[in-house]
Amino acid sequence: MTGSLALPSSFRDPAGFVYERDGNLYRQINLGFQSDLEMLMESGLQRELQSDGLVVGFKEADLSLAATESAAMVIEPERVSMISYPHEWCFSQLKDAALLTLEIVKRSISKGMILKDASAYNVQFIGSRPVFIDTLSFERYEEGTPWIAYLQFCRHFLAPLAVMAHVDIRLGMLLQTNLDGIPLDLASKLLPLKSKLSPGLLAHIYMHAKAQQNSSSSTSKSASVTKTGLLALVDSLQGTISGLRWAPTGTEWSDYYLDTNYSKEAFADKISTVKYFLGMLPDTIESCCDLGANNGEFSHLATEYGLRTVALDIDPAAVEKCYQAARKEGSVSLLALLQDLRNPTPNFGWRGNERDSIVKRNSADVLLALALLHHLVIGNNVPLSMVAEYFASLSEWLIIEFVPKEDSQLQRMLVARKDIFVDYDQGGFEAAFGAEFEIQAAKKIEGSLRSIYLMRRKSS
Amino acid sequence: MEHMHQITTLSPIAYLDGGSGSLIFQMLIASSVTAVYAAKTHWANLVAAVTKRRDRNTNTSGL
Repeated sequence: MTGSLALPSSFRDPAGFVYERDGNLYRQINLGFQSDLEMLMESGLQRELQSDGLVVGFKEADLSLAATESAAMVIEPERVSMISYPHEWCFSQLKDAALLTLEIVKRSISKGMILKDASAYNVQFIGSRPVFIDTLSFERYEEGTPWIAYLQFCRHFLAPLAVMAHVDIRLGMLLQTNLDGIPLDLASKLLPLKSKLSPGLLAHIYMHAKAQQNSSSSTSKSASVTKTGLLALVDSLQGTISGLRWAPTGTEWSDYYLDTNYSKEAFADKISTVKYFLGMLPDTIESCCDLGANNGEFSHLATEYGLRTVALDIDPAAVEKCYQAARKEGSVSLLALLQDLRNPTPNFGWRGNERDSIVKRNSADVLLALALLHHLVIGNNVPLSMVAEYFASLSEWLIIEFVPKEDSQLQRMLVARKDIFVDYDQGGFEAAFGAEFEIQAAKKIEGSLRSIYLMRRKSS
Repeated sequence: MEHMHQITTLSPIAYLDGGSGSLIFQMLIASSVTAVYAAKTHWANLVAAVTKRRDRNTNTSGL
C-alpha cells in the first residue's frame, strides 16, 4: 500500500476499506464488489438518501489513487470533521442513529437493496445531524432472504437504548467494552420485568436472546423472510425504538445553571467576557472544544464565532440537553459528546488501536474550560501543573475560568474534606499555567470572585 | 499501478454472522408482525386516499 494509510477501523468488510492518501480520504472498492456500489448509484438510492441528508456524499476518484491492486473503484467520501463513538453519545443521539439506520433500510428495500450490516459505528454526527457513512454497507436485496444485520442492529441499538431507558442511563457505557453491541442475553438479565410488557422488547430482546441460545445451523440456512415480512420487521423495530424515552432530569449537572451561585448580572458578565475573548482570537482559529460544557451554553457562543465546536461533558443529562438544543436549531457545527476527562476514551478495539482515543480524534484550536478547573483539582486531586500540561497538549489557545477557594461552591466542596490544596490560589494557578501558557488577558467577573483568562501556549 | 481487470461479480456474501438462532427467529417474528404491518399500511393508504378526495372536493377555487 504505497503512500496510503488504511484506517485501522476499516478491515472487516472484504468489499473494500477506507484509507488516507496525501491527507485525503478515499474508499477502495475491491474487484468483484463494485456491482453493489453501481446499483446504489444507478437505482437513484444514493441520490435520494444524500439529498435528504441521510448519507454522506462521495465522488468517484481516479483508479490510480487505489491503495492496492485489488481495487475496482475508488471513491472520495465527504469527510466528517469529528468521528465519535456510540458510547460517547447521549440517549437521543443513539436513538436518532438507530432510527436513521432503519429509515435507510426501509428506503433501500424499496430500491432493491439492503444494508448488510447495522453497526452503530456506521453512523456519525455532523453537528447535531446523524448521517450514515458506510457506502459499502449497501448490497443487492434478494427477495426471501432475511436481514443478516438484524441481530447486530438489536445489539448495537435496541439493547443499549432499552437498558438506558429502563435501567440506568449510564449503562450506555457498556458500548465501550462491547464493540459489537450489548449481548441480548445480558440485556435480558439487566432489564426489569415490566419491560416485558412492551411487545417490541419482549420479541426483539427477550425472545430473540432465547432463540440465539437454541440456535441450529442447519435450519438457519433455510430461513426465509418475505419482502413484506422484512418491512414489517423494520416497522416493528421503528415502533419499539420510537417508544423508548429518557428524560434528562435528576443528575448532578443538568440543572447546573439553575443551581449556581452566579447572580444574573455575574452570569451576563461571564458571557460577555467569554464573547470578548473569543473575539480576540485570530481569524485562523476554526475549531473549539468545550471541556465540561454542561448544557452547551458557552459551546453555542463559540459556534456564533464560526467555530466548529465539540462540547464534552461527563453528565448524560447535560449532553442530552446540549444535543437536543443543537438539534432543535439544526446546528451542524455543535457536536455534544459524553466524556469523562478523568478517564477519556482511550484507543481500543483490535490490537488496541482499531478505534482512536478522543485526544487523537479531537483536535481543537481553542479550549474552553469554564468552571471546570476546581472539579479536577479539588474534586479529583489532580495537581494544577498536570492540568496545565494536559490542556497545553490539547490546544494552542485556552479560555479558562479560575474559581478561588472563597467561592461558595468551592466552599461546599471543601466542607467534607481537609483542604490539602495549598497551592490552589490565584498565584498558584497563574504560576502553574504560566509554565505552559502566556497569559494574553484576564478579567474578573463582576459580582463574583471568579476570573476568566485568555491564554496562548508557549512556543517550544 | 497496473490493474488486472479480471472482474467477477460475487454474489452477496454475509461477512457478518447473522446468528443462526437469530435468523430463524427473524423468520418467525417477521411473519407474526406482517399482519399488523399490512393492516397498518392498508389503513394509512385508505386515510391518504380519503384525505386526497376530501381536499379535491373542498377545492372551490375552480383551478
